[in-house]
Amino acid sequence: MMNEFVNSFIDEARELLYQLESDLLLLEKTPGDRKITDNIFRVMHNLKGAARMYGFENMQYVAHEFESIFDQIRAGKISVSKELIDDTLKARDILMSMLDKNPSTALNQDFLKQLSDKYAESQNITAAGPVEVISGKPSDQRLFCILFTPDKQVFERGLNPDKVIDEIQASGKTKIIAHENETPWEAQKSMKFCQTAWEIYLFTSLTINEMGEVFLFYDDDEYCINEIKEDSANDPSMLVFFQQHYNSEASLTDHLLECTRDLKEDADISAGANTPGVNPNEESGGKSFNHSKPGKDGTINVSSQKLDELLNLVSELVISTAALDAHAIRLKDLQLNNLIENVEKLTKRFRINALDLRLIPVGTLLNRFNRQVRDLSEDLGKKVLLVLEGQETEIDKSVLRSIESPLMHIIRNSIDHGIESPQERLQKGKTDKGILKIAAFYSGANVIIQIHDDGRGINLEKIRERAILKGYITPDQSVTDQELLNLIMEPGFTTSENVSIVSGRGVGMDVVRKELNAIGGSLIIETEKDLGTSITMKLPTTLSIIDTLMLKVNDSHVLIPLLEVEYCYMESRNNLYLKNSNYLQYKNNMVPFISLRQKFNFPLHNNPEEMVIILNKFNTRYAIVVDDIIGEQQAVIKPLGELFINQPYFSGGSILVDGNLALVLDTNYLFNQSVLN
Amino acid sequence: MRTQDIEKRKSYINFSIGNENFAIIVNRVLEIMHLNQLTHVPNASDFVKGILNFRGAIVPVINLRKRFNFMQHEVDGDMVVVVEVMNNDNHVLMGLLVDEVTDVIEFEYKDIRTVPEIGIKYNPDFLEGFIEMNGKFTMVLDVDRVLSISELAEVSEVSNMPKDIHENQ
Repeated sequence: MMNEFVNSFIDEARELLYQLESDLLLLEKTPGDRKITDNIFRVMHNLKGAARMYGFENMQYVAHEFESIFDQIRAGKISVSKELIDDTLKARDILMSMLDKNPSTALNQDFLKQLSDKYAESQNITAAGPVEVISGKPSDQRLFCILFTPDKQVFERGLNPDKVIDEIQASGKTKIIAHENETPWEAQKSMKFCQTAWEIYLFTSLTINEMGEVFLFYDDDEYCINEIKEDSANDPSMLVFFQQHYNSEASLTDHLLECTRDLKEDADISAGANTPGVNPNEESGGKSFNHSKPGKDGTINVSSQKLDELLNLVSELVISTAALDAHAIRLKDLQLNNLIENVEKLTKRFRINALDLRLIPVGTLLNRFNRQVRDLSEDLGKKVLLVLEGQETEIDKSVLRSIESPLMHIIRNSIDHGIESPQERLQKGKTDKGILKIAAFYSGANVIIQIHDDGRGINLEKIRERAILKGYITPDQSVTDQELLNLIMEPGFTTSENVSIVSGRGVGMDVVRKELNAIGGSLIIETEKDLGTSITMKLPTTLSIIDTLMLKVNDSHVLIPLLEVEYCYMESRNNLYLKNSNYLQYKNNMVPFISLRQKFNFPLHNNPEEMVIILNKFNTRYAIVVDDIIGEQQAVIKPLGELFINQPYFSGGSILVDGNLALVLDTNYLFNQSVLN
Repeated sequence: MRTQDIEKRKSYINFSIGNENFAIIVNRVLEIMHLNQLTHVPNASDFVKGILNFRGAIVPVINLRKRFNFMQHEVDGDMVVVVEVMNNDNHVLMGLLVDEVTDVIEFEYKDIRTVPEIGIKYNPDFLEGFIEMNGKFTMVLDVDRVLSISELAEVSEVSNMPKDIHENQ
């Protein structure tokens, strides 16, 4: 059980660290951005608390350093420099490695020591630990209003609001107003039903964040900490609370004055004229810190296993509904038919919704490349601007996961081989900064991801030489540019003269293509000398459901992706096999064909007519010959299982309306068989 | 003492293929059903009779006759015992094609006797051993070995892949 929580902590922490990475990079571009600084501070603070809870003590320590650095940035004591970003990025990597390995990962003591020393000049003021509270510098004390509205079911979470109140009382001088709502608090406690809201005025030397730790186990919307300032009466959270618990005639300003009078008198005595909120000349330190998570409200993390299970159930529901429908039609009961039609509509929407749950924005992955591009270009002495477009385009999480390393590879290639050094670029009359653009967009049922750089382009002459050297082509053979580019995707074909650490180790585009093919995607490379290279990935939006055409071969039902079907027609056997070649004439082109009957070792049949399906992949045509076409079919693709892992013709199976199975043809394999041979 | 004896006894599903009797421990068996909807997979291994839809999942049906290399040709049975197999810590479902499911028998693990290396017509690795009951011998199957996915998949590659695939790889 505990393990489950730890895992979900790790998942969440990983997301936070990715977020942190992109925030840091953003901060590098806009060093003064208050919102980002606050955000980073908040993220580190949350991480620190959670790390402590789950026993990741070293992480807690690093997170604490982070937090104090950003606390100082917020206070304007240190400013954001490139060095600081470098250091914090490194610290972020350390945190990530602690997550990946185990909680006891050895601390990189030297680096952390350095880190804390470097940014600790002003620590004597900001490091407000418990020691500071005792020594109690009066000038550091501020007046806060805490609004605490625990959820009604708070007791069921094993929490007791009394503890929070006690802790707050212990941390300074307080005035507490409990709004009990009819039932006395003690009675609410015994009924385990919390209706009370607290309004707490606190005069303390703690910072807002330290106070926030008291609420570690409470949701953001259950509490709100505000510093009392001149304009506190206009604070929306205060106003809402006030309107809920007091009659509308009273004024919030008066109420605040009333409530804080006693505390303020004390404050006046101890802090002189420096008390916040009294002296109109006092400059607001801008310390008010909103604890609600920006933009992240209303999302929950669900394990993909659960989503898969849901999808499976929905798929079965679809199948059952179709079977029910078929049965109802036979019964000719109008009312029943209408009811089933309703159920079908709902099922359809249900399925669309369930599929939608698995989709996440492409940006969640693309954003991670900011860091790699930054580090890589620095290592290689190049200037690269990464432009991301269409980050909101949504795609199946598993598709996104499987394109991560292909994308990384392409990006490395672009920076290492594509984009020139600043000097070379200036000589060519380009700007010294290369542009690497990654754009994502929808195209029908597919998602296209395009990686474009404005570098030197792929040297086709070099590929040609290489291809001749490696025996792919003969010196006098005429090949088109596109054919040359396709050679890059052949295994073991690399053109890089000197193998660098970054790329060019011989495992290249062939792996990228293979990985994309494995998920039903494809790859097109286009290049223009000195204008750049563009690589287009065509990806399925989701792996689990596709539109197919159902074919019949012998007594097997075979499905092929409808997207790849270009044309279907009947042809007499004689015409097909007469010439004893594996090509047929289509639109004045010779198209290679494969007879599935032959491939599957079925006996020849007596029908004089064959059905020819012209397929189109990567703008290349090929054909398959089958017995008949049965019709279009929306298919939920299920894996055939590990037993068929060496079996190349089928990529999966699908359950038909009658409960029978149909096999899904692996068109990538057939394509390679027919076209490349 | 008596209750302990009963606890030690385990239930086994008893089935026959040809003249041979086999047993599988009952907690590996999910379902026994008539084979009525089987989808043939072209170019699959001889061992694989086809695939079927079992509770929404695709389950391969293994022809044990072929797996055991039974020489004489007989008509394949039409009963399927769906079992759970462990493969690298994953649970995998597979159907066993058998002639007849006869009964459920109970015995203790210690009753299982080791199979002699010689004098047996099929691979002793597939068996946990055999038991003798009422003068009848029953082979106790080691499900994970007999249905080892790596073995079944490997053999299918060698015996049935068209020649051109090897050229392509």
